[in-house]
Amino acid sequence: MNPFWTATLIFIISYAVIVSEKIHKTKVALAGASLMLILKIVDQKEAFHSEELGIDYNVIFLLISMMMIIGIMKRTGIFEYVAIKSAKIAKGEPFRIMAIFSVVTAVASAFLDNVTTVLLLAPVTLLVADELDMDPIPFLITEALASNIGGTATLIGDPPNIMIASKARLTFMDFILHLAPVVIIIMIVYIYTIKLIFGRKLKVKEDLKKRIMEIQEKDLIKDPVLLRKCLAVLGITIFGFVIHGFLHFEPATIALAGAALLFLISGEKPHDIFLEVEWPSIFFFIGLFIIVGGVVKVGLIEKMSRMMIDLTGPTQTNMFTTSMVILWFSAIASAIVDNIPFVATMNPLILDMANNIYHAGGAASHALPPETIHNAVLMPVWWALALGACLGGNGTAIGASANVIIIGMAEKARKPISFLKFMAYGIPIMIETVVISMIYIWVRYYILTAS
Amino acid sequence: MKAKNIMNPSPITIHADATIQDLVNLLNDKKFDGLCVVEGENKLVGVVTLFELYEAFLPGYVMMKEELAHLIHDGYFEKKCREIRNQPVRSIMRSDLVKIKEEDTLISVLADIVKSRLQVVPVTRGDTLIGMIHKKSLLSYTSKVLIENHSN
Repeated sequence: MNPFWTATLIFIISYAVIVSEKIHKTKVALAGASLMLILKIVDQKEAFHSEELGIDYNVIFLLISMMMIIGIMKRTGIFEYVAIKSAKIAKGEPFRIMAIFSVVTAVASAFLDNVTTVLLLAPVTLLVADELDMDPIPFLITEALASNIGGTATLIGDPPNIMIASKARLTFMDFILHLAPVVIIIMIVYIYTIKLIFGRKLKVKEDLKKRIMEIQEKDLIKDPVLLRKCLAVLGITIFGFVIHGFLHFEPATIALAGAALLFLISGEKPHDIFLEVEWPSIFFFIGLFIIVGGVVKVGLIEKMSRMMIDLTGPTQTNMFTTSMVILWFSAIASAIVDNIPFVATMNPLILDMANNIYHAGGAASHALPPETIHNAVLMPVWWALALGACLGGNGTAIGASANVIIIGMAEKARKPISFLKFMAYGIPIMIETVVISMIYIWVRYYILTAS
Repeated sequence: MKAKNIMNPSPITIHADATIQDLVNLLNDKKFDGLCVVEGENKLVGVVTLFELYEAFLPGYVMMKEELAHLIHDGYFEKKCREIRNQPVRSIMRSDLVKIKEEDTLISVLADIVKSRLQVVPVTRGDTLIGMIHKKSLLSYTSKVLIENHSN
């Protein structure tokens, strides 16, 4: 069998098995990657050291570093403290709690990772709902959805954004300027939507609200000194992200430096902190990068990008149809499959498409000049991919890791959420948020720039 | 000494469909720490101890994050008592059983007790419960052996 078909087969089988969830995705990704190497589709040097075909260490180190920072931070009890404080600010009023929890989740997810955010907030949510004698499920679902919405806003908010930023060489501020505005609009509409859905149903007696007001949240801060150090480092790190573009640092450099600083001043043992790193996810990324490298090398991605060009007809001056198709396609695909392998595939595909459109396929796809990658005509396509991949995750229970975590925790708390129940809220919210994104892209990049 | 020689061949058991209220009454009346849970013709389906009983009071989020228990209002325990009284024992019992057979030696029984932290020690033939080893009888046998050795 020629390398093209071998690589294509490895790619298809790996993705099919990942989607089936019969075998853990990390095992599948590493097996697929090993096959690519053993069958010499890519050699080890390409997989480990080439920017075009290899592991994207920018993504890997950004993820590991942020996991370490958050791993130390979550020991301080700050997340639980903020949650209880918010419930008190809401005066124990259930809908206000739901809205404030959603906003807190969204903001935390924008700067930290979605999984940790919901992992830390879900137990407190269960407590608050229990104290109010209420069904916790609406609170949990609205948090999962808010987490995916919030994560869309920044470069570090959600893995698809980290991956897109690395390949498209976009900065933290690019994401803030282009995605945060639409995410804020989406959040406002989202809060109104959940008010419409749940607002009237959420009623409790006054004496139950008093229970919330009487909780002593101060005791939740276990280590105020560590907390101050963490907040300082997180502040410095986020400031570093804001200016990394000007200083010409990659985001991973900033994150790694932040993690190193916190390591030095926190006094925590390295061994304990490394336990906080989600190694299975890290190796899932590593495996995927190698698998995708294989199909890039044999030309499958190039063929797929030609198909995309034929289908959506992008030109040097207009990629409206392409961005709309990518937005919806990404959203639907991300609702059904993990958005990480999807984005890992789409990134080189878009680069190849740009190569074809602007350089007649003559340049090296992985090293296109900035004026091509950041061409005003191409930019909406990147944003469409980010918005679709992140917001699509809300569609189903398995669309995003935050959803999976929430469902797992609900089950542990003996309040199971069925797949269909999740979808009943997830699908409408996904459609609503993607429609808003569609209008945003259309107005901001096609109406306003045309005039 | 074999398990069959030290076990109580007709232990008091509780049916899997009995309620938590029944369980509490039985444990309290007999001053037991735990019971074997059976169904049908003495088929052993689980064990239940005070530990499982108390765990049933704890909300899931406390199991996820212990500190949250400090934030729950006073009166929660009593509320939970009313909530769980009619739940079947089946819903709280431990069903991952360590099965002790009648021919097992005493030392292997002890190994199971220590390694699996058994509070209740059922002896089975297949799935059928044929006896239960009480901690009291283990201790009195230990004492007996010690006295015999001493007098030798």
